Amino acid sequence: MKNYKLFIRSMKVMGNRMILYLGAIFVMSVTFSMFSIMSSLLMKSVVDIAQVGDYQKLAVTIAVIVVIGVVSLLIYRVATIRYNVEAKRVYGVLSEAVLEAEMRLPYSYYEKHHSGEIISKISYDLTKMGDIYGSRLRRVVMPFIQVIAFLIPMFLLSWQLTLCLVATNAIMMGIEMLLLNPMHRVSTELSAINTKMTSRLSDLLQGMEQVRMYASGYKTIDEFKTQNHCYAKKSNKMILYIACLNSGGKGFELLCSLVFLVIGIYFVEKGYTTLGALTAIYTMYGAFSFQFLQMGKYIPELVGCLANAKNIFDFLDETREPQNWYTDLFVQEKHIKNNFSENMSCSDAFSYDGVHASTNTFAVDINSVTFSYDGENTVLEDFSLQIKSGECVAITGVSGCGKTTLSKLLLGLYPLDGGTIIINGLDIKKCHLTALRKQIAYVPQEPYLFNGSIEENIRMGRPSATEEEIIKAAKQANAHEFIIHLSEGYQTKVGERGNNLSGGQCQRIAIARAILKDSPIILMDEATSALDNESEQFVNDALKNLQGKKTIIMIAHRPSTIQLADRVCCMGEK
Amino acid sequence: MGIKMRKKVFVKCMLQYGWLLLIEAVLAMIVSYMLVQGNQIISVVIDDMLGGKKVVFASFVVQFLIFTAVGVLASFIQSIAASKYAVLICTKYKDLVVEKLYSIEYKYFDSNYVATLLNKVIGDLGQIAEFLESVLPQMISNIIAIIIYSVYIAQLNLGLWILIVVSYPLIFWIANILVKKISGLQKIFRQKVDKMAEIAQDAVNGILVLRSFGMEQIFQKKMHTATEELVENEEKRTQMTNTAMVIRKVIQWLPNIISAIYAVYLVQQGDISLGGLVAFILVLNKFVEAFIELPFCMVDASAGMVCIKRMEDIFETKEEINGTECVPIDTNITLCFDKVNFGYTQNNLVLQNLSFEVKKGENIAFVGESGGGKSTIFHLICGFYEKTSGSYQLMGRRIEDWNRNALRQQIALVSQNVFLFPTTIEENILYGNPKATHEEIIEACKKAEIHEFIMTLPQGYQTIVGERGAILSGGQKQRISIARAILKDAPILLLDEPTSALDVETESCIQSAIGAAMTGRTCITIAHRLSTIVNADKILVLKQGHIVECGTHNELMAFGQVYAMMYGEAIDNEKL
Repeated sequence: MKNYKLFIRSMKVMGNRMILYLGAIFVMSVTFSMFSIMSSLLMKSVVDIAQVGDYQKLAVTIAVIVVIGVVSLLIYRVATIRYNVEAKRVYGVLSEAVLEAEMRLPYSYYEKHHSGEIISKISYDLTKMGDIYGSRLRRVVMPFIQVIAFLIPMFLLSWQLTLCLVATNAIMMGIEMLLLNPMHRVSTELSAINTKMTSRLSDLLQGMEQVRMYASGYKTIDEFKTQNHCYAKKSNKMILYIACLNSGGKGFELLCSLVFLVIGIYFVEKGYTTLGALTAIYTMYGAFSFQFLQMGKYIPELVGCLANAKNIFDFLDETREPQNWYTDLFVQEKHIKNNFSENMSCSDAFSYDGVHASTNTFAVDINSVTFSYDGENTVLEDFSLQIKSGECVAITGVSGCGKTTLSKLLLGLYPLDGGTIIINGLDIKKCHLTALRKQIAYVPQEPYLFNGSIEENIRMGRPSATEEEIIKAAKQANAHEFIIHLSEGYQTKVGERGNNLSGGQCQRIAIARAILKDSPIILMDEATSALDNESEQFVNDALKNLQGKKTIIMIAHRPSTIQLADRVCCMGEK
Repeated sequence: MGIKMRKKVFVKCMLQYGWLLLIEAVLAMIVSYMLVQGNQIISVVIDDMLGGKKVVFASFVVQFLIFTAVGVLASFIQSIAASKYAVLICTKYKDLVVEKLYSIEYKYFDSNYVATLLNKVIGDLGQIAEFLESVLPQMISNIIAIIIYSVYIAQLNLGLWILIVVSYPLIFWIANILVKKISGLQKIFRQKVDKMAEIAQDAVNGILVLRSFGMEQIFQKKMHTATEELVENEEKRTQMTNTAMVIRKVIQWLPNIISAIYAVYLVQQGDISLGGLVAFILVLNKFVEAFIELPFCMVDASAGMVCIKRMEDIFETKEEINGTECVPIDTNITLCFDKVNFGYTQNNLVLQNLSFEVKKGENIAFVGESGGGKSTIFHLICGFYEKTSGSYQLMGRRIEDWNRNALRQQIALVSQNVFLFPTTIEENILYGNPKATHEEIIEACKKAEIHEFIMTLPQGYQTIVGERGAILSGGQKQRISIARAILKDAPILLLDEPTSALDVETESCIQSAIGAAMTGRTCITIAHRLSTIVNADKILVLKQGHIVECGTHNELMAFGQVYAMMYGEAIDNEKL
């Protein structure tokens, strides 16, 4: 059964803590039912003693029962705390795993998938999957254990009556089981609509400016509403299933009272059992039946959540970007997959012969590279370019000719269809991509700043950098001046997509980040194209600072920027 | 204001479908009543039996079966009413939230992360749905059960009833105090989850930078810290809630014990029969169950309230100013700024004392350093932000008098950040004018010099562009957005660095296309390119939020200050 496998996998996520977690659930169940049993026994003694009126015996019995009850509760408390904390811990572990997967997908995935979809995975599926640990599993498992815990004293009090009650309950269980599969189907459908709604909402929020400027932008809202109403319509089926479960439960509660009455009275008349025992069984039966029906009740929900867990696992199982596109370095890759929390070490990248194989003197050696995204439309064909160490090369060409593609290939984001690229002696086909990327500091067209302070953003270039080094890098990037004039200086928080800063300022921070990285090669993808003249001048000055010290590759079309280059390479359509 | 105001929209929704809630309550009453009647039979039969009378099964079995049938039916309809109620409200509420987001003042998006907003709407609405679907019906059932059962106990013996009525409210009161404390921590929990979602979104959006810099470990560490905080918070939270739980359970037991002993005394006194005692114990059991559930419901409800409150924050946020005027006044002055001040925050003005005039058909250009507030002017013209002081008029009407949508119909904006909707190219362009024919679309694309490129795509105009147009280059995206603006055919054209990400060749194409599009329109450009600047009817030089110079190219060159210097630098750059 697939659900079974999914469930096992969900449990394995916890590792050794699974024992602690499941143990906590067990202790919780037992101690909790213990408390209820004590309450029922109290009632038994009340009814029994009411017939004779022995108050002293009543006092002693009550005292004993209360003490046992309180002790059970205290144990219950400890177990519950453990349980809750472990549940949140798994949720955390999963979030980390999803993030890990999210960061290591092949680049093509991000270009093909709507980021709203990825976010929906995180916030919806992950929350639902977290519910498995936080409540769903407990709700399914606890009733089973509690039912057993109740059955023991009930059997001891009167096994005949208990047997009849259990039989009646079993029929109810059967009905609930029948609803399991259809409910799962509806839940999957609902989840799909939900994903669509999240995408629409994400469009709306991210494109708010355009949505408002165009009268038809309101369409996005209409689309959301359509999905929303579709969700409501689809829910109708779910409503019906749930109603069947609920009313079935109530019906059996009444029917069981009947069974209890008919059989119980018969037994008391025959002298098989006492009125006190009968009362105790029935009060216990209330709790027992409640738990018994819960056994069925939450299985569909657990199954529903498993559908979300499947989404998460599918996501985790997406092919990652390999360590290298061409050679199988799988041994290590598997290793990483299994221990997502383990730090990735890439120092061993150099043990591969990529670095020694070539005595190449070029910083970048692109040799008859052919590439296409879809296997049909070739973007680059037989493209060759050699760049000497310390050289500053500008790459120009009409838009769409493959300049940005070239930079993506240099970063190893896509595998080449043909030809080779050798960067500082590292053959792109043989070395670890991580090692390759260490050679290149990349400044993208749209400078992406991460959520956090300016300092944190620059530091991402090299986490070990000191404050002085950060300031030095900022100075070289011509960013220091404006940063210190901000009210919070380097500690200024940048808004999403750098909302608080102008494009030029963001770009200079991105350049400072690249400088701090201290890679031999700096790759700039139209880094100045979105800037005004003044900012561009700042950036160009920064570039001048680096000339000669670094190999600089810049994709550009501004004459002022191109002017800086030692050599200009013009790409044409194939 | 205060708390009552805060739940206004939600309460309105709840009242709109109130009839379903009423049905639910009535049916819950029937269900509870059937259960009590069942118990009554038990009590009578036991007394009969103990009294030595022969028990006739047939007489009560039929009665019992009728109760069961009614109970099942009532419970079935009750469940449907409850779920329906939840779904209707949620659907309505979601619609309202999205509508509100559409008209909320633009400032709101500056201070809120898209990830947080998404999480708010999706996550909170989920929680609210759960509140409506399970917590609320449970609460209703429990309250009604408590009422019905206590009426039954009162019938049985008034002394017992008084005992219970006195002792339980005390426990209720204690539970309430605990609920309040827990509610605070719940908010922190949501915040922590929000933070985790933000980290994840940050990673996806910045994936290119993240990957090229090998920042995976940094983000892994960030997430790890966030989850650690979550676990820590959970430890604190559960310790408190569970201590509260133990105390509550023990206290709750007390009335149970006392009333049981009291009942024994009453039996001894002969005030109630033994059958009555058994019935009392059975009902007391159900009564206590319902009563114990209630505080739990309250805890769940208070968690739901936190979410409702967060959603209502959205509703509370001001909407964009929206006037009623939809038709422009026929005037020669298209745009007129009079001493306008603007700042995102009170004490940090981005634009100061801004005054200028744009005549119909004029072509003016803003130049100046980045971060000087040029884009902000566009946002003011489009009515995204509210001025801090001063006034400005567009086509003869004050900005606050304009109907928002009518105002924006007058303006075609090509902004710095191109956003393409994740749909086909054609549909993206159609946003400019949904009524446009296919020929008109092609014409607009030809003008924007993008038609030929689109035709090279295997699916042509039906090509679906990724989010933020991932499969297209920056220049291509920009040209599509220009085509969209051309199709809109608005009298005013706002161009915010439209040619910036283009190569020289495409740029010159676009310049001529824009030139054609500009004829007969008023055009305001944020300019970097000499061609744009030189041809402008008027150039406004912006520095630190002030207009420092204003005039034609020749006038400003003759003036020989800021502009002349900037122009000189630009000329140097253009020379190769």
